[in-house]
Amino acid sequence: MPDSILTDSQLRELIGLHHNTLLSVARGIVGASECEEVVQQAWLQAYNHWHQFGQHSNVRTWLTRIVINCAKMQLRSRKRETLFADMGQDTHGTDPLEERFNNRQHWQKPLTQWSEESPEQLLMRDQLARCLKALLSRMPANQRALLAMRDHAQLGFEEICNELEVSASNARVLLYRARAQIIALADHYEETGEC
Amino acid sequence: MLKCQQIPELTSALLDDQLSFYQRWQVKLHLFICHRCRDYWRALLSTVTALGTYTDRASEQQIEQVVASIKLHPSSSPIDSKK
Repeated sequence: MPDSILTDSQLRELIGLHHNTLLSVARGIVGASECEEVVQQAWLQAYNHWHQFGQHSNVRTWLTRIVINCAKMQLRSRKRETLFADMGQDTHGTDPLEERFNNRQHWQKPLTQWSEESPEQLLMRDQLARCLKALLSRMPANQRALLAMRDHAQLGFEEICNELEVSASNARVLLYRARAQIIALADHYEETGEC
Repeated sequence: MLKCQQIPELTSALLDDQLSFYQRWQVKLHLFICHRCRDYWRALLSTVTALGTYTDRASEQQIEQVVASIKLHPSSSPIDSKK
């Protein structure tokens, strides 16, 4: 891309590609009731400051940083503490892979051999993509937000912890749980052809 | 010696550069000798790579809403309607 002004079609394409990821990020910080408003503000800022995007590495990363800033401003304007930190204690759910190990902590149900498709092809298969979308929508908001920031938008792990004021150990557990659920889903699909 | 059950969480942390030198060494040694955990590690790498390009595309209605709010906002520069 980047020209100094976004055309209407470029803007629509960007919104189409990134809006739902940005909603996930905002939902993890300000909650479901205010995430739409925050992402709306972020799009306005991104549109007005598009000339500053320049040669930044990744547009999704740039947009995600704008959303995080808007979400934090929203929290400050409401004089609220970071919602994400409040949810940081939510790290003692069940391990998504627990049933795959025996009581000696060895694999009793190892992963199947995945086919040699590229990773992009793997998650873009229609049925698996639909199941992934459903899984992501069921994830706790803080897990989903961390996954969006780290694996979709590729922000640095430490940057995320600093911005959200969440401890590295909490972030590690939440990210592990999110990734493990997706791997379990994809593995089940590889094994059975359905999910 | 690490147990297989520790590997999924540790490999996730390895991707985020959150392990000490000794932990990294332990994980790599375990992956060297355990093919089931190597399969898990490959699956994790594939999944994280795929998530980097994963898109949950917004609906036309969502797109219209965002565009309309940008156009209406007094601070927004005029949208270049060139295709």
